[in-house]
Amino acid sequence: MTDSPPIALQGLSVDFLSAGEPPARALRDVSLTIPPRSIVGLVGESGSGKSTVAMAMMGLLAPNARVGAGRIDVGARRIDCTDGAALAGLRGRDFAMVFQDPSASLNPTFTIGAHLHEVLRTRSPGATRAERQERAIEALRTVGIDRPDARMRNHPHELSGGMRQRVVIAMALLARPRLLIADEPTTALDVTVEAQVMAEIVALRDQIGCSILLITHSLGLVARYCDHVSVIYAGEVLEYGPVAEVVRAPAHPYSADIFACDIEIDAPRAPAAADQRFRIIPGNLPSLRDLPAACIYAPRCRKAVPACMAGHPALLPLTDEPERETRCILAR
Amino acid sequence: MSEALGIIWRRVLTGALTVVGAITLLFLLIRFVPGDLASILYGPRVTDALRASLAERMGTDQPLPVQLVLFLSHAVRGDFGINVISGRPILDEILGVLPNTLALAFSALGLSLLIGFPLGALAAVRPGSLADRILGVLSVVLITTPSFVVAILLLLVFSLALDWLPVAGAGTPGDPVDQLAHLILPTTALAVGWIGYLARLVRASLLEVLAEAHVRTLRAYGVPEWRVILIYALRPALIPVVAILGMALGDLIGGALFAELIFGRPGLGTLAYNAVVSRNFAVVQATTTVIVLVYVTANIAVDILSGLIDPRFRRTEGEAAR
Amino acid sequence: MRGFAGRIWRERGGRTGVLLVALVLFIALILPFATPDPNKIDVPARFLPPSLHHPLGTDNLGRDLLARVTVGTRSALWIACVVIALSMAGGLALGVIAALSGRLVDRLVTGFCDIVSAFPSYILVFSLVALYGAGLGKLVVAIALAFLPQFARITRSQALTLRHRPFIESARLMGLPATTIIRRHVLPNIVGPVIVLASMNIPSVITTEAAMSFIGLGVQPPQTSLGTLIRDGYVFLDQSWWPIIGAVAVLAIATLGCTLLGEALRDVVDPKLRREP
Repeated sequence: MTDSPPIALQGLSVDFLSAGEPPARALRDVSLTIPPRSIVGLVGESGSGKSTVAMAMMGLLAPNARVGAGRIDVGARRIDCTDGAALAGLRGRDFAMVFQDPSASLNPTFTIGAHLHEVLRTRSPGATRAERQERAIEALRTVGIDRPDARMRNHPHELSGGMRQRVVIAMALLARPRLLIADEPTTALDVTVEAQVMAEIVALRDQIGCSILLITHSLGLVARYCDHVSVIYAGEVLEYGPVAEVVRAPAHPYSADIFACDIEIDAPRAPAAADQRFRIIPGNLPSLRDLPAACIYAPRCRKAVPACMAGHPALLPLTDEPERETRCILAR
Repeated sequence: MSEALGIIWRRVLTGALTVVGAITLLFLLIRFVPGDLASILYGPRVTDALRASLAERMGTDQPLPVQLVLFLSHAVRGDFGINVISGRPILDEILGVLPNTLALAFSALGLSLLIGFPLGALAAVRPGSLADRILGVLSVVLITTPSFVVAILLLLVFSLALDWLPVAGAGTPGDPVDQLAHLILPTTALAVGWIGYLARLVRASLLEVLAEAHVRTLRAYGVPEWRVILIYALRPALIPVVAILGMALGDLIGGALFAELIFGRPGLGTLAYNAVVSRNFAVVQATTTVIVLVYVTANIAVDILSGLIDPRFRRTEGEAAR
Repeated sequence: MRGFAGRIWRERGGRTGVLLVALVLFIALILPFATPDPNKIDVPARFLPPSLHHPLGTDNLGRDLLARVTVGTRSALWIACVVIALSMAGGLALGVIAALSGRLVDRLVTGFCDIVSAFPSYILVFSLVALYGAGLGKLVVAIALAFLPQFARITRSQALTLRHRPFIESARLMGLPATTIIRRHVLPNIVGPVIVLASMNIPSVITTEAAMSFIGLGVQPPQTSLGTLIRDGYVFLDQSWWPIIGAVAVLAIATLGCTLLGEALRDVVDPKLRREP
């Protein structure tokens, strides 16, 4: 598996349509490279479009979303992101997902066991009920759930948030995807539970050898768990590179700003605290309905020069560090 | 499991209390009518012998609380006395026609579910489609047309214009095909409104569930769309639908009263109506008591069914009781 | 207030409801000025088909059916308004008392509501009329009683949520009398959902009255309502089928219009109520 090619997302663009208004260009030319067995962080504030990236890759966007362009390379296949049926074919086989809110992500009227069986029904259609049962219990045990055979008969509301998130991780374990997309998997959980759940996600990677796309607003999680990081702002990737390099010497002023703040750039669970910290970067997100032909971050950037307003910069490799990419013209 | 039994037991107990309360209310309403009890219950046919037997049965010479206890104890045992017109025990007469009324109410409920449910589900799967918009308009029209009006219109069409279905009676006893044929028009008349109502409710409920995160989870794991909708979205969407069924049955039994009169069908409605016309309130009172019993029982059954579908309900009920 | 009406008008359902209700009001209030005497008997002209002279034809006594329908519509609307006003007043009083008095009173009121609701509403009205006799006044009280528990319940739950709100607490600490607190602070804050409930119940009240009058246990001749007109038409159905059509059509239009208008009102006043059956 180590020698398989990376999973690559190329040139994804998504618009959100609403009646009587120009479309909101939520994602523009987003590209990501996710090497085998690595954990890539996709970090950005709320509204930056990071969850939209996940939903577009899964083909689960809201009905008012239009995918303009984009493709995904998985193994030897090349999937067109505008082809909903092709994306549906990836779900549960090549891609799986862990969601932000474990209290809502399991069906309240079905048992834990029913959820796990359903994953296996898709993934291993030939297995008997008894085989599925055995593998489901084994998966629960692997993700650290006590008395897994009893838990199979429980309903979601009988489990804590952390436990429910482990159940979803167990579903991912049974799906054995090439890529696990974890969309803010610990945002809704206590800090103490966060470390345990992240440990289970890493353990999952180690066991089935998948790659992980970790979508988060938490720079702490990125620094601790990710190999690569992609910094997304207002629907554009501004910087991509190995975490250590990006943290040490950010190649985009936006990355530098958020890393300098050394705080979570947004914390939806604690709006009051977040409010005070938001002001550290003055200005607001640009309107996605009316974008300038300029660097998207220039209006808020401390280092902006007139050239920044002259044209829209592309995401290009750094000259002396070709593994890293940035949109900032000053870094070249 | 014992916890679930405790909840069921508690629900049955409150149901029984409600029935006792309803019978008490009925008693008070009867006693509130000016005049003596015998002439209220038996109308112009009251004789001194009847008056004497009632005084003994109901303790009309005793204080009010004693009368209430006597009234309750008779009602609870199903002893409603004798129908002064036919001379038969009232309970026997009620039990004789109760199956007709229940068959009508339940077949109307079944028909409403059979048609309303799939219509609502189809509309929810394709919101905004032509079928959805047609259903949106149609359901309001169906809901707002009173069932007795539908019954009259059906009678009009089938008795005057066409001659397809029998329009009167309940059919020959012992001939199921004939009985079924006699059931079709009154059932349709009663069901029409609830078809519209259930279609709307199912649509709204399923749409809400389909937008929930757990549906997205299953899709993310590649579960086929038909399984997502028919198995995993439908069950939580059923919760509000099941919750309304008790009320539906009560409404249908009430509506059956009119359908029975219009289609000349023997049942609780015709029995009670004829009793009112002949000022024989003892029969009305007994019929009302039996209907309340059926209605409260149906509501208990619905609550238990809700608990079976929605596991959270079991817990909240238990916690609320603690 | 303009924005309020505008929002009802903007939705297709609300607009249809307004137009249908306007049509029914026109039939009930304006049309009587243009129609002949509804009680003028002209036996030779019985069972006439619709014509320019008698747009809905005539009944078994040769009375003009359009004129009779206008009178019937007026009394149906009038009865519905009185019933709803009674239910609402009784429900508001019981609900506020239950919420603001002690636990015992609250138990009694909720118990009373549960017991009244244990009767299917048609059955309760039927029993009351059977006991106390048919007729307009008794029918109105019977239907009002059947619809009262809903108003009491919603008032009680609304008032309960208000009870510990700061402005009520401070009014109480200021020593304002209970009646002033209820009148000035409680009622204005619960009246919205109660009005919505009232408007949603008008079609059911119209239907219940028509059904009871139809079986002869409601409005009694010579008084007229949509129910008695349908009854008259039904009795002579084998001789002529269209006398029944006018009253049935107005009844259907009235319930449809009031339902659409009530739903539009609910969506504007309180979108949260949308889910409640």
